Amino acid sequence: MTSLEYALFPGCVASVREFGYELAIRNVFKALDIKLRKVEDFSCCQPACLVHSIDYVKGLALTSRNLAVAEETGLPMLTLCSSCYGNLSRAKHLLDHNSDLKDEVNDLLAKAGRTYRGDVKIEHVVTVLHDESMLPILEKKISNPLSKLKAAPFYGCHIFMPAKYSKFDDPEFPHKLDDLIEITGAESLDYNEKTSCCIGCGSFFGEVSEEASVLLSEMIIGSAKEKGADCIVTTCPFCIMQLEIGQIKLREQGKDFGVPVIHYVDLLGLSMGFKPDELGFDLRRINMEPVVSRL
Amino acid sequence: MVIRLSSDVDQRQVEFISLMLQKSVGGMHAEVCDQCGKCSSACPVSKEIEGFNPRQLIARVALGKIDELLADEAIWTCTTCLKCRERCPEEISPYDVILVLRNLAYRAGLNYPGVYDDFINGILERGFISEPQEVRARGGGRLSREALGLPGVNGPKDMAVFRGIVEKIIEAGKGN
Ligand code: SF4
Ligand code: SF4
Ligand code: SF4
Repeated sequence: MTSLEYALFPGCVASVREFGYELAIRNVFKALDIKLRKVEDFSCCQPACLVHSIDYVKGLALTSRNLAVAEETGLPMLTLCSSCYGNLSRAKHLLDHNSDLKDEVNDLLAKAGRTYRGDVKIEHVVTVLHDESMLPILEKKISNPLSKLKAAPFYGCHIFMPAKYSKFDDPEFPHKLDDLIEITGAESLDYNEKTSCCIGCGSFFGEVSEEASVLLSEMIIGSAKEKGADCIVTTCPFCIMQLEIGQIKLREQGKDFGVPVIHYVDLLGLSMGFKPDELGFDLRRINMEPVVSRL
Repeated sequence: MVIRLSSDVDQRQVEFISLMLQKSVGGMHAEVCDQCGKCSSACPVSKEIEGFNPRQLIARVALGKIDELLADEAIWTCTTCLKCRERCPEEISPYDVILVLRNLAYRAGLNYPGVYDDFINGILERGFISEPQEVRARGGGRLSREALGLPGVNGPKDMAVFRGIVEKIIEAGKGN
């Protein structure tokens, strides 16, 4: 059952750099009559690539601090970032299944006067919108079906890996994002790299990973374009950043794909009649014409 | 699996970390890996980078070549996508093994990507990877959160407490 209010967890990418998505989610959720509460005390979700890599337990404590803050609000958390969703779900799973670890983490949290109890609910835009109670509401709110648009869903990786932590969707054959795309009237394309990884949140350090990330972008975008995609639709601002920057680097190598990469809230917003600038399109790195011309 | 390092690392701390990991993420039984290669065929990095291969990495762990692995930059190349863990029929998780190796390499005072420190410091200072930026707009000029009508980002007030905790471990790592 969808809640009437959520504690918004925008994550750091959408908070400090890619805030077009925060604008989009705020506008779209308002129109869906779902309140989003601003919570000052949230920090970055602390992905596995950062403190966890160096000190596992303390990394977990920093992640769980956000869970404790959410519990203080009494509201379920709502994230729009795959990695935030994956990291927070993973931390919750580990703490809920290991009382020693939970004690260890709570000792650290106690220094900041916080406790993790374990009753917080973690949601992602896709899990909230895909809820049975929401689907008929969405259908009613869609005033501008995107029937001319072909969209390639890109699930990314952290959102459902491993399935036992997040229970987001079937990791091999997911369908939730596809379903939600179809609701907007757009066609959801099947292509090879739907569940690939953009190398965004993980090892974007150093030359080797940079090289790999451009090669992966080429594979993902190339495979979507081959199927006739007008755009790629993701569940994560970080994936978008990677796939946009990847395209800019590919353009420098003479390979111009020009495929806009948007978040699902953008797509939904467009189908609900929002103008591109109400969804932060002005901040995109890739020309949005292939999408805008098909509205 | 008990990991022993030849350098003068605090063995007690290392054992604690390996134990903690083993307990929290389930067994890392490298010895049951039958080298089927399902992890490597799922791994996005293996597709693009020669020499990075989770199957081989597990084989090296099983052979006890830990010291060599800790110094190998490959352990920092994994994107933490977790696909290997999802696919492994033996419930081995190359991903978790890599996280342990990173934790150990750090404690052993070995090289790790310097950007980590910048990110971690940013988070401890402001709660986020950086200050809110002004972003270039397609229509020209730069836009801030405020210009888009978004509330300001002040960040959490209790990060100082965590700075104390995390700095201690950073020092502990560097001391070795
Ligand atoms: S997953 Fe990425 S965007 Fe989300 S808070 Fe963490 S680091 Fe920031
Ligand atoms: S999938 Fe599992 S069993 Fe197969 S090679 Fe990889 S770690 Fe070993
Ligand atoms: S977690 Fe690392 S090793 Fe495993 S599949 Fe992903 S990139 Fe490869």
